[in-house]
Amino acid sequence: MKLNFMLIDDNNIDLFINQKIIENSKILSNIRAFTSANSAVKYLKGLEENTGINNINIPDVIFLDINMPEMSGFKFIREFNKLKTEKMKSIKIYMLSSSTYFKDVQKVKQEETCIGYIVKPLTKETIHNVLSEFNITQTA
Amino acid sequence: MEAIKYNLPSRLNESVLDVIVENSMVSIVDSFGRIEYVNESFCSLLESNASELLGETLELLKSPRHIELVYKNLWKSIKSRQKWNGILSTKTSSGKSITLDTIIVPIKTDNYWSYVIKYKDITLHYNENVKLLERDNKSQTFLENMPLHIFSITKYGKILDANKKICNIEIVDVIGTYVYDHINPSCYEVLKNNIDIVFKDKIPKQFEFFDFDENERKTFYSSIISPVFNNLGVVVTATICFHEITDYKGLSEDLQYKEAKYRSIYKSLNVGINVVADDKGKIREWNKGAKLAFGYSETEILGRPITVLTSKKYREPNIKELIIAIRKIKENQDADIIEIQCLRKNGEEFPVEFTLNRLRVNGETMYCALMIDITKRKSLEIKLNQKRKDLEQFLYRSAHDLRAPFSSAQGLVNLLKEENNKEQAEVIIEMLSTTINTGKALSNNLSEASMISAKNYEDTYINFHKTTNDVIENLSDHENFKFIDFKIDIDVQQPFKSKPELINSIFQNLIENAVKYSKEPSENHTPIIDIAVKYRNEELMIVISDNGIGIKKQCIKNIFDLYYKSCDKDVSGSGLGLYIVKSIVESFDGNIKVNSDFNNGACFKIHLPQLK
Repeated sequence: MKLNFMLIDDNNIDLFINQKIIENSKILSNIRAFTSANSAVKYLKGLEENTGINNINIPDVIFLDINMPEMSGFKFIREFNKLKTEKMKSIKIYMLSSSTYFKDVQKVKQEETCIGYIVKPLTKETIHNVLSEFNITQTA
Repeated sequence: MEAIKYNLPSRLNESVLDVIVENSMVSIVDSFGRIEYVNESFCSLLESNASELLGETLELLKSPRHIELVYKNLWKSIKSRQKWNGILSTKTSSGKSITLDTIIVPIKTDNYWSYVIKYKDITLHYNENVKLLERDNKSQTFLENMPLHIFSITKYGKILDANKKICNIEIVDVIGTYVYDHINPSCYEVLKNNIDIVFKDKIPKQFEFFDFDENERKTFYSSIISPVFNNLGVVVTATICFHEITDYKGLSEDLQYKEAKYRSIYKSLNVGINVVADDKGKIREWNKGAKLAFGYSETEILGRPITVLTSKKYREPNIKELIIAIRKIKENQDADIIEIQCLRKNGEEFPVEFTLNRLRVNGETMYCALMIDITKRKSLEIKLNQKRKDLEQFLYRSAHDLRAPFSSAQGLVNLLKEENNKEQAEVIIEMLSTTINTGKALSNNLSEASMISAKNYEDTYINFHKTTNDVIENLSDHENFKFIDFKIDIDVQQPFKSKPELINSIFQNLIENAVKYSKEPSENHTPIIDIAVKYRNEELMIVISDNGIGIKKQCIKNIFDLYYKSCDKDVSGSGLGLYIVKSIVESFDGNIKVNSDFNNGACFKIHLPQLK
């Protein structure tokens, strides 16, 4: 099984790190990176509208940065909820932030759509925990 | 007229002249005043006869050299051949004084001037008048010397007559005013009640009251009002008399002085608002502070309920608070300091801190409300709260944003540890260096932002040429720099004093933005940055404009916000630059405005007043 990852972060370096960590975990993956929440929403809308297209492209996991200009992670979730259909239902969203501020953590926990909060940087260990949700054993 | 004149000589014959001469007193004197002719009735008035008088000087006219003004005028007039009319006095042969209304007419006969004089005996009238005047004067002095003020008034208190002037106001000016105009509002009630009784019950009324003079000295008066009836027995006016009896009140000088002193202090207090109300809630005392704060004069407000002073919107809760305060006082507890919203005469509202005390004066319960206008404090509190929120936000965002590059660096280090490929490792190291630079730039910006509020900068004259050139030179390493055409126009004729570090920061951030957001040069595009500084009328204007990529309409309102970052992902920034600029401009009491068309450049305009 191939896992589809969607990475959303305005910082190119963080995107690079996340991508590398996923690649290093040696699972079969397909990674799409977006530097703004806006473009990610557009992409998801496109998938939604093209009903004919197979579901292969629909992401399984979204790593979402909180602090981004124009559209923040929380705003993205609001937009995402608007287009949440059957197809999108299974998507697991993790929010990523360098903040350990308790109010941020609390806020993320209140978001039903979001299933986890990851303190940056993404590491081998955290990606392992995420993957265990999918019962995927790493081919390490 | 012509016809009558024409007929006149024929009628004015000897007999007519006789009648005239017989029935009036006439004499003729020559130009030296010697008698040429006297008629019978004039002779008898002077108790003399014609033979005695003819040829003599007429005593009545004195001589032309006489010094009294009336005679000077007389002789001056008749010598210039003009008619003279006036009152003259003389004595008869027996020494009786007589007063004559005299008309002297110069006439010319045969080139020779003489004066015809006609007399009218007004001795009786004159003497009566003199007596009358004397009497009048006497009664006037009598009235004035009375130790009382007496007025004739209508039932509304309008003054119809007065015995003497009051407080240097002449009687004529006193008439027509109201008694209430001349006493303190605190006495209105007692006076009005008594006047009403007199007009209603038609009996004289005596009462005492006190007032305060211009030195705030307590002055006691005894007053009598008595009705004045017309023929039908209706009270038309009243006579009111005021007698100052302070000295008989047995108050010691010391006590009076003390009371005057406290009253002066109370009245002149203009910091605190001081209002005394009776147990019915009616205002009884009103100080200067209250007048300044509420805009009502003493006359307007005394006797009105204290609730008119509170805001209509908050009247109910205000009254509740008041009732609680009064209850507490009645239970002998100290009333709390409460905050209430007050209403000015002009409708403005303002917050006060309010304390209530109970006083007992002559068995009467009074409440003294002491208020302090806390408008300034309130607005400061609000500002402080805003500042505190800003600061919290600033700290939170700073802590967060400072963490970000460290997290990235940590992630990169993690990757580096696992990386065996040397080329890949070098890519990661390059990223690490970028990340560290971002962190460094951010911490630099942070220290810059914290500088704004620091006060320990000296004001010096700003050299705008140097500032601009230094900033531009610092930016020369930027990749866009070499394409940009800088146009600098500095027109500062008079010295402008300010804090150079902060002014520098404004230029640095704005010019750096203009460089960062410039468009790539092409055949028909040269990136230009205009920097204009002008100093006019004590105001500095800085305009920095470019023809770069501009700002999207929906972003313009946010660009000065803390940690607001451009929507354009290609340009890196800390989100602090414009926040810093705005904070500096505001700390100088200036303003900043931005205009931009997306894709057509941006223009920042700053106005700074000269530091005072």
